[in-house]
Parts: sequence; C-alpha cells; structure tokens
Amino acid sequence: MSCKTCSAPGSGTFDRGIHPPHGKKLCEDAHIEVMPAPASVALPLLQHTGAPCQSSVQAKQSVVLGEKVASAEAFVSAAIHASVTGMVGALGVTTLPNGRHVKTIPITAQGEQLSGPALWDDIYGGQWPLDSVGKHQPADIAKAVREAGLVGLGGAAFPTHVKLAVNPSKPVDTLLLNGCECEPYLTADHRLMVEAPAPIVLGALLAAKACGAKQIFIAVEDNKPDAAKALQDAAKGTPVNVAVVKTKYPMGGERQVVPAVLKRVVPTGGLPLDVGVVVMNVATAAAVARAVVRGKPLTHRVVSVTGDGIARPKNLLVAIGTPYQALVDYCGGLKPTAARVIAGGPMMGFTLGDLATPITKGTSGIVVLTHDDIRREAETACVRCGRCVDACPLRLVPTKLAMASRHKDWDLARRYHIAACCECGSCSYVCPARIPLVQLIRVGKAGSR
Amino acid sequence: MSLLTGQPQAHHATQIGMDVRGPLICAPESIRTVFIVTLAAASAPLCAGIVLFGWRAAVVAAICIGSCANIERLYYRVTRMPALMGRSHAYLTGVLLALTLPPTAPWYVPVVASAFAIIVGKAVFGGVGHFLWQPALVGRLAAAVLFAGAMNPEYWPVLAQDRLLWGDADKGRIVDDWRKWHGSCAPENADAFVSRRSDVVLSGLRPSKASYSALAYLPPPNELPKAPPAALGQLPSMGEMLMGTVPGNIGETCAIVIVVAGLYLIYRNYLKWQLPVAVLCSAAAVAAAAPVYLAGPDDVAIEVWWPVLHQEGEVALTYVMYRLLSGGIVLSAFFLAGESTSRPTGAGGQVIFGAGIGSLAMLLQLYVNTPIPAFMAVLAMNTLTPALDSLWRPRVLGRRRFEFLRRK
Repeated sequence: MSCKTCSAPGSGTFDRGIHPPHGKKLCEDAHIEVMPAPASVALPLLQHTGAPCQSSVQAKQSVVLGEKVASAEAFVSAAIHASVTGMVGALGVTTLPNGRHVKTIPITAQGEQLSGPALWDDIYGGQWPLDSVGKHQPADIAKAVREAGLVGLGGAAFPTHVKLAVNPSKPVDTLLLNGCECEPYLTADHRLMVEAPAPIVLGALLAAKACGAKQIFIAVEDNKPDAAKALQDAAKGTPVNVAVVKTKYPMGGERQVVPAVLKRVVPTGGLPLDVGVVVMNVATAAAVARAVVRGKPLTHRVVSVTGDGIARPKNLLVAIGTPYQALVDYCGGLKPTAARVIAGGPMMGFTLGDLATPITKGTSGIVVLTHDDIRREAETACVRCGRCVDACPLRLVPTKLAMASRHKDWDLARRYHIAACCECGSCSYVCPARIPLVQLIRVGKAGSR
Repeated sequence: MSLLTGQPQAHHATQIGMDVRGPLICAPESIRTVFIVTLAAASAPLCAGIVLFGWRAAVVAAICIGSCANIERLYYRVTRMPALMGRSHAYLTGVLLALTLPPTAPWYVPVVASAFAIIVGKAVFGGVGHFLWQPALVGRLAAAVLFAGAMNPEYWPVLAQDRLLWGDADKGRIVDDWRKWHGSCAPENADAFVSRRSDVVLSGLRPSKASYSALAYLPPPNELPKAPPAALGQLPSMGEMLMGTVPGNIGETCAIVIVVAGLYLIYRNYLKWQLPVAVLCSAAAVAAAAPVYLAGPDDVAIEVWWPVLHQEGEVALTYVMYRLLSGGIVLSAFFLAGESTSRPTGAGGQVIFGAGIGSLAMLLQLYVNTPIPAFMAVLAMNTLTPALDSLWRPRVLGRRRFEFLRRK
C-alpha cells in the first residue's frame, strides 16, 4: 500500500493485530474548535515520562500565557508553561488518570485571554515558511524544543528533545511521523493533519535536521484519505513522503509502524533508534515547528471529546491543565447512557475517577463509552482457542503470560518474554472468555522485573 | 485457576486494574457463541448421517446429546461444582460423540460413552478448558473397548446404491424391501448387499486377515501386478465415497458435508486451515509411501506393493483417495482434532500436531487391527499438546532466529 504512494520499502501493514470497530465517524468531520480559556487551570508537575519538575513560581504571582512556571535539571524532563494568563495559586495535588499523585500549579485566569481565531492563528494558523529550515542549526532546534517543554503528544509523553539529541553511537537516517491514530474513536491527529498540514511538514523538516535524518515519512492509515491528501499537498516540493498504511490496531505503536513503513524490525527490548529511526507523533511535529519558528512553548493541544455517551462530540483546541469537567460541559455534558469517561482511547486509555483532573500534555482524547460499549460477560475458563496468540502484534503468547502472572510464576513469565509486551490490549479485546489478559500481563511485567 | 473446580480464581478488580485501564471494549464473540457455532457446524455432518443411515442414527444422536447434557448436570449437582458456560459444551460433546458412533449401536452404548466423555474426559480434569483429551473421543474409545462386539459400523447407509433390497446372498432371494424403512441394519437372515467398509476391504490386502474375507477378491497369483485395481473393483465408487453412501460411523462418511462445514469453521476463524491441511496431507503422504502386503490364497504375504511406485499414477492416486476418505480421517481433521482445548494454540504447533495425527492415523489404519484408527491418533496427539505448546511457540517480534543458540 505504502509503496504505491511513496518510496517506502515496507508492505504497509504488520503481522497479526486486530480490527476493532473504529467509531471515528462521530467526529472525524468536526472542525477543530478553539475552546474559550477556562476559569482556572491546574498544571501537574509531572506530565511526561521522566523526572518531575520543580515549581519556579510563587503563590499570588501573576503569569502570562507561555511563561515558564516549572522546570527540572534532569535531561529526561520537560518544562511546564502557563497555559492561561492569570494568577498562580497555592500548590495543589491531583491524581492523574494513570494513578500517580502529583503536585499541581493552579492558575486562575485573569485579564485578557488570547482566544478564538487569534489563538488558532497563534498556534497552528498563519504562515509556515518552509525555507526557514535553513536558518536553524540542529543544536538550536533541540534547544528550542527543550525550552518549549515539548513531549510526545501521542500519549506516552516522552520528552521530545531527548529523541532529537544526536547520539553518535546510533546514527539516525529516517524520521517517521506517526499519523496513524489507530485508537478507536480518537480523531484529534486526523483533524490536525487535515486542518494544519503546513506546521506538521515544517516540523518534520526541522526535526529531521535536528536528529540528522536523511529521509522523512509520514505514516497515515488508509481510513484517513483526506489527511493523506492534505499532507501530500503541503509536502509538495519537500523531501517529506506520505506513506499510506493499512488500517489496523495497533498500527500507531512504534514496533508496528516502523516495520510497516520501513521494513525494519525494532529489536526486542530496543528502541526504533537501534534501527536508525526516530518516531514522532504528527502533533508533536507541529509543536516542534511552533517552538522553533515562533519560539512559543507547548501550552495548548488538540483533544477529541467523543464517544456515544457525550452529547455533542467535538475536536477542541484546549489549554493544558483544563479540567476534564470543563471539556465535557463544553460538549453538552454526558448522556444518561454514559458509563465510563476515558482519558485516551478505549484500548489503552484510563478510566477517569474524577472529572476535576486536568488535561495533560499527553491527553489525546476523552472518550465517553456507554453501558452498551463496555458490556462484559463474566470471566470464564480459558479454552485455549488461541485468538490472543493470533492477535498479539508482538507474537507473544498472552494466555501463557496471563496464567504465569496469575500464579505469580515470574520465571515462566520471563521465559515467555513478558517484558516485550507493549500493552496494546489486542489480546484482551479478542478473548472470548473475557479474561483480563493485558491487565494480568501488566501485573506480571511489574512482578517479573 | 483451581484445577479441581475449574473456577477462575477470584481476583481483585482494582488490583489488576480491570475497568480502570483498557481495553474497555471487547470483541462481540464469547465462548458460548464459539460453542454454539461449532455445534451448528457439527450438526451438518450429523444431519447428513441421519439422512444417509436412517432413523437409527437419529436415535443414537438423540441419546448421545441427551445423556451428555444430563450426565453433566447430574455430575455438577453431585459434586456441587458450578457449571461454566451453561451446557453448550455438553451438547457439543454429545454431537461430536454421535458423529463417531455407528448407527447400529444399541441404546446403552451412547449412554455409557457419554458418561465416559463427560466424567472421565472432561469433568475430572476440571471442566471446560482444562481437559487434555478430546472428551467425545474418550467416550468413543471407551465404547470401542467395552462394546467391541456391538460396535460394528460395516453397514451400508439406507440411501446407498444397490441398497434397495435386503437379500440373502447364499440363497439368492430377497428378504425384505427397504421401503419398509427398516433402518440401517439388515434383518437377521440377510447378508447380500451388506458390504464391507472400504478401509476394511483395503486392509484385506494384507495377510493374516482371513476374517475380513478380502482374499476372495484377489485374482490368481499370475495376475498379481493388477491386484490393487482388482481390489478397487470391490470398492464403492469414488462418488459414493464423497457422498457418504458407504459404510461407516454416523458422521464420518459424508466427506463433502464435513469439508463444507469445516470450511465454515475456518471462515469463522475457529479453525486454522493449517491443521486440517496438515492432517490430510500427512495421511495422504503416508498412504502413498507405506508398503502394502498382498496376500495369496494361503493367507501368506507374497508380494509387497508400493503405491507410490506403481506404474500408473492414477491407480496410486485412487488408492490414496480411498485411504483418505474411508475411516474417520476427514472428520478428525476438521472437527475432532480442531477442538480448541486439546490442540496446540499456535499455527506451528498445530502443523506438527496435524501431521502427527494424519500419519499416525494412516499407520494404524494400515497395520493395526483397530476399528477407530483416526480417533486413536487424535487421542495420542492430544497427549502431546502441552509439549508441542511449550516447544513450538512463535518467535517474539524483534528477536533473531535461533536466539537461544547464540552466545549471550
């Protein structure tokens, strides 16, 4: 598939995987709306993978949009910037959807806020001159990205400047932008690719320059032809190639998209860097362009608020730190059938316990599932049908891993390579006995470490 | 998982993060659906058997299904174990057991076979998902051992060619008219038109099988090279072999229906195509390669015939086709070996498993005097399933081939 659209060597698909109903019809055609600045935001001090930040502001201090409010000395960390203009409050505490308790910097909005079309123009609109790439040196790009507090916006929230740092022992020849968005329901990246392809292409060029990549691919699943078209138009005359890949879950995982596009297999326990590839989300690329060309930090992101349980599904450009409740209210509130509010997608996301939790840099969507969606029968015995084995994109044996984890047989779990599991949840999805395979494997991964 | 009760171990939902971490959606198919669809597919050869063999086949099937369901219910009530997944698996076991029994079995055979299938085959291991041997075949094996005399599957189906009349071969007279719907077994004093199973006829090619009386079919020794075609002359036509109008157990004769129902299972993803293909290919290979002893008038081996070396390839091919279609190999390939719990999980393991079943079944059919060669082969390979599962597992993505051989 990909070979038809560009020169990528991969077949455009990967072995195994699943096809869950994608549910993207709900808001794949909904334009990104700019949400008005919320009355207050709470900025968690740990929104990324790595060391937590230290607050650098005092209570009752006034801050403006984009001002740095927290940072860390550690290399694997990302600074945090005020996402509204206003006054800082006393440090608070919140529980993120992943269960971590973190300190937050609350900011009450005061004074005039940038909003509406002006905010859109500031972040994704306006001109993105492609010839500005030559003006920036690789080191400057990485520095600007670090200053902007950029993390991967796909969900894992790994600090981007670490990926862009040149590692002499592992040369990079390819930058792969990940626009697959394989999670059901989510459409944030899709809409961003359709509505703002220019910053994505510019960001790709800048990131490739920073990490020394020679070739650049953007992987887009074939259920988003409009996004692929928009990117192709924007990338005309640049070395950026758009690779259309098959729609399959979990295509967005780096161990799946790298073989699908580049025909290179990431070694077990390794990173795409080991095969000379840097994988980056498309939204991250757009933020790279903004950070380098405009010098603006990461303060807003696009979030899909979708699912059958929300009144008016929308794609929103929101300030980081906005409580989930504000987004849900802005979209008309929950329907009576709503059963679960999920941060992220229904496959790998977290159920929210508290809607007052703030949006973080890694939040790609809010999915509200109904009782019908989450209906589950009681768990029954494994009949060894082998569906999980056929679904696992890493070719593991999930049923064995889950049994080992249940019996706390860590040695057996290690022999079946439990650490290689990427927790995509394909096994739990297909299991007809409704065994919580991936949940048990997560326990086993922690236990066998 | 408790081995004795078969109950999933209670785990704390919060401890393992159920309902908190995804996936919060799941595929629509549950195990119940899997069993019911398999049951529907297995009903197709059963219906074919009832059409072919008459009402006695229906009676045997009804007894099998009824006693499997009731014995399972009784067992769970006596042992106070909670029955998992309803009784759909008991019905499925009953149907599969009925497929393997001869239509002429007296009423107590399916009852005892069901009891063995449910109790010895399934319940003592902990119920659904825990047994090692396919339960229906455990029941069939018990029936073959306990009621060897009553288990004679060598009757033509009602709808077979030349099956219009019952007759007495010695006296050359008609005993009865089939239209009286006698069912599938001949009256006491009739023997004409009652023929041997095709695999029994073929087995007659080997010595010390006087009881099979195939020797009479062999031509004089000076015409021996043509012996196999002469034996073929005593067999039903290939069309009859495919349609199932040949003697055999209820569900094993109608190859066309079995293959169609099996293809449906493959289409529904309940069965990997590799398994039946491995069984049939390995069985065909062994049938083609294994030598056959031709017996002379004095019941001694006088020549070894190698099918694969026969001058006319067509004869060898026909011979292999008869070997494949007679006996329960096709039924085993699609339904009995494909039972999910007692087969290896991965495609690689299933290929070895299937190859083992096919070759073992063919060897048993060729050289061992057993009424159920294919079923015994499935049971034997079921024993190896755990070993195959642990030896043959998929290579984890990103690991090199033969990583365990490399120096760390």
